[in-house]
Amino acid sequence: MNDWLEGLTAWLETTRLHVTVQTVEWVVPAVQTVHILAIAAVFGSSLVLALRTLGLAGTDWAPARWSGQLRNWIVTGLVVLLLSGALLIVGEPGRSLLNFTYQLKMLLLVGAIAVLAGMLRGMGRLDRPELNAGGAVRLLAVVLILLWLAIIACGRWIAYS
Amino acid sequence: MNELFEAIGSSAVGDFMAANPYAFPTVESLHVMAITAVLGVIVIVDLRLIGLAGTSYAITRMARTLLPATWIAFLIAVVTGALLFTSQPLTYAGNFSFRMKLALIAAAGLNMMVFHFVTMRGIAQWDRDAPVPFAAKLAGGLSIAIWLMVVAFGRWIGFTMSPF
Repeated sequence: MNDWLEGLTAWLETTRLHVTVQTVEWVVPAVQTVHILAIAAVFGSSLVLALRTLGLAGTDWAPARWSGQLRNWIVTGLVVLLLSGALLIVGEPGRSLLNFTYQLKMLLLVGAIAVLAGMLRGMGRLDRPELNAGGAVRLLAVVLILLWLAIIACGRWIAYS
Repeated sequence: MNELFEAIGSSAVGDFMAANPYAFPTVESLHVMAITAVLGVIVIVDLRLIGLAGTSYAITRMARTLLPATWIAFLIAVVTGALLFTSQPLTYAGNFSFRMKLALIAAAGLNMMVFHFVTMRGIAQWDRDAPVPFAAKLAGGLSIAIWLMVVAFGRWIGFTMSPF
């Protein structure tokens, strides 16, 4: 796996896009800003869905209504995250791909997407405002928020490790 | 003012934030968590205010149900931001992006107060399932634009001064 990642890193460093990201000063902070804005969309929406699942906010609407309203917004945010993240990797492949914090972040991301899918499914079945989520969906909501927090922390620590 | 900043920088907290290698990244991580929570939830409320989504949810009800969590996140962002500031008060105070960020947060507060005390007076007529007046749409649009710029300038601070 590491051999393959080292090969990928070496190849990415020869690309023209890599040189552009490295040399045009404003590209990295601009792409990072877009990345953070996309995290805000995904994390903020997840937070609202989790609060609704726990019955702490948004109870005028059924959980299914909330998940239907925010699902596309979250998916759009995730796509922007992947694209902006990919561009940051092309810019500094060695500092990301071969970095333990980055690898951990990707592992947590796979977990978060699976938990998110499970939570959205669970919420989708609760189609009346008076319906509340059961223990399993509530657990998914809490785990999802903890995973996003860990992912955000990993993202910031990549810069320091 | 500069004497005050120097005193903050040489205080026990300022010293810890500058000297401990884990302090800055840890507090910075908490700052990012808090500000993404603030922005992410506020945009949902603003989109409702503009009338682009969820018009069947009363604006006053949505604000009441979602804004307490946003205020808690904002408070965490302020406290962690203040801690980051103590690591290098003079450098931050002179940094253009930092000054812009603070000015924009003040603008967001002003926008919110105008909405709360002026625009919201007639809200009973357009709280739910009704077209929103232009002033309310403007408040929502300004709020989104201002918070996006707060994040952008926040990121630029890190690029226009050394991390430690």
